[in-house]
Amino acid sequence: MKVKNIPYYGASRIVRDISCDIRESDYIPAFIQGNEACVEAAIMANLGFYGGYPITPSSEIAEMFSRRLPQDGKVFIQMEDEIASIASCIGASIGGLKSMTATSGPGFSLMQENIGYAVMAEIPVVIVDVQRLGPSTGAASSPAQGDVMQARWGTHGDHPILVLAPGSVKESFEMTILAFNFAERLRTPVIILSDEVIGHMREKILIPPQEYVLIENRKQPTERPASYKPYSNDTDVPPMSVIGQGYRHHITGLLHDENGFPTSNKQEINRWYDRIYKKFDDNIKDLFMYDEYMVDDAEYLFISFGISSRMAIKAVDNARKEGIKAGAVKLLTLWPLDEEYIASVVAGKKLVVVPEMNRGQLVYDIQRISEGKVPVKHVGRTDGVMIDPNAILEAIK
Amino acid sequence: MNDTTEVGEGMKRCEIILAGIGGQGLLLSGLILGDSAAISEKLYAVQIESYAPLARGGSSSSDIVISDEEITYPRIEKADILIALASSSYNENKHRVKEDGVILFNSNGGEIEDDPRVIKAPLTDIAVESTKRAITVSMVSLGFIPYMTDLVSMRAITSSIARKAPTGTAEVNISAAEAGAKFAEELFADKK
Repeated sequence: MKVKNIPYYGASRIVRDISCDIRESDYIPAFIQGNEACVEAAIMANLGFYGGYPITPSSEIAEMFSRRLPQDGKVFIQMEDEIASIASCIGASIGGLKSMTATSGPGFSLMQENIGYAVMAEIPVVIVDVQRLGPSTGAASSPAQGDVMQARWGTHGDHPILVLAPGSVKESFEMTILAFNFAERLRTPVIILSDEVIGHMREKILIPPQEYVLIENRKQPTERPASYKPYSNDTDVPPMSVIGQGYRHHITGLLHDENGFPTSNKQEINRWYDRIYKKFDDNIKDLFMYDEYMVDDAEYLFISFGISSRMAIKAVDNARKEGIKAGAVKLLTLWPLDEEYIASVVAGKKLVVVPEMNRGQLVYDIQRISEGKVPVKHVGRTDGVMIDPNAILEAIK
Repeated sequence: MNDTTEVGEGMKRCEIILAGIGGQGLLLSGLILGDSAAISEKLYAVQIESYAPLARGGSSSSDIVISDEEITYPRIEKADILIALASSSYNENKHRVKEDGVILFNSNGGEIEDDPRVIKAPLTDIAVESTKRAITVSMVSLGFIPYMTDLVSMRAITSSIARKAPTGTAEVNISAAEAGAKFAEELFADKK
């Protein structure tokens, strides 16, 4: 039987424009977990360092890297906790390696301060949070989507952040490649917000050959070391030197000037803030990724992400069978939201429903962007069970 | 033979629950069944596991959806097939099976109520007779699959076992699956 959807893979978000024909036979089919797809993608993106502390439901990521990275001469370290894990990744990235860590809610909480450090020092690093249920220890092997706002605002102080949310094993692969590319392109930490279902579910994916995939690397300085400014405001994303290769690169969590030294000068502080926000604002159309399903004539719209987006699509199918014109938008990027897009897609709808496995998080931003012009309702669940498509359908009746 | 649901324009979707007690090898057999469909048969499959936080004991199950099209909705709505290795697994999952679905029950796994959907087979006995190891019971149950759906063949199952079974265990697991298939062949011949 012919495997379908190759054209989708050919046009997928990670496959670059190549002149040769994309051949179906070049892809390697695999039946793997979301966590495994994340590992395969990171290796394809040329991950050089993994520092982590295993925690359910993310442990397969650490387990696989502990075997795979040493085979390739790369580094895997199990650190003493999650604070040290993210710190080790920041250090490795400063040393020129693409680095990654993976965790779940309890560990994600511990990482927050150093995520802010990576924002402040503009260090590319990829953090995977495979969400589980509840605050504190919660329920380790039960799914939830309760870290949406923590991913956005978990670290203190104003800051932009990129959060990608895969809804399938295939998207776990794609979003991991893209997380590294965006981290390198923008010199920023990137968070992949997965969940227990996506992490542990096995699905078929077709792994593209390395040469089909566009892998980006950070810009490195080309000027003489004496004139290098690691935080230059002449460009949105200043080149990042590799420590120990002759460039002076002072790194601090303090607000700093273009040379990286602490400053209390209000103009310098404002220029830094403007620049790190501009990186995101100017690239919003690239950063903000979504899929639409039967949106064109929809009177009712479901906006969702991750595993819940698949429940929303099922709810659309069920609604259409009953003659109700429903549509769905699956957000692959949670932060930053393209507010212009959200405002346009909700405009004129009778009702917008936001299904998410929490007590209401993303829904508040959708309501804010809708400015009261369209009613926006939340459908949630916090007992470790995926949202029932019928519950989504009930919300519009 | 064919309990596969025809959905829409000829799309085939089959939903299978493998359920038992922790330690009966259900997570591996779920992986192998999914792999048989997705890789060996070149179809699509989704597998979701659930298990108690114990290495032995507690309920354990694998939900597998097989389709000839990409699967958007990964959950089981109403299963076409339930394989229950113990009476508790039957009781926990019987409501999730279609009225015209098929339930393969391990008659070595306790007593259950009368249910017209149930086919009984001594799966643990077959495992012990064929491999001297009761733990291969879930592999024995996989041998029944080709007789319950036309989406997955025995060849697909054995080639997935060869690829996915832990190192050094492929042979014993294949023997168990083949013993299951042999029993199933006679059993289902009688049914016809």
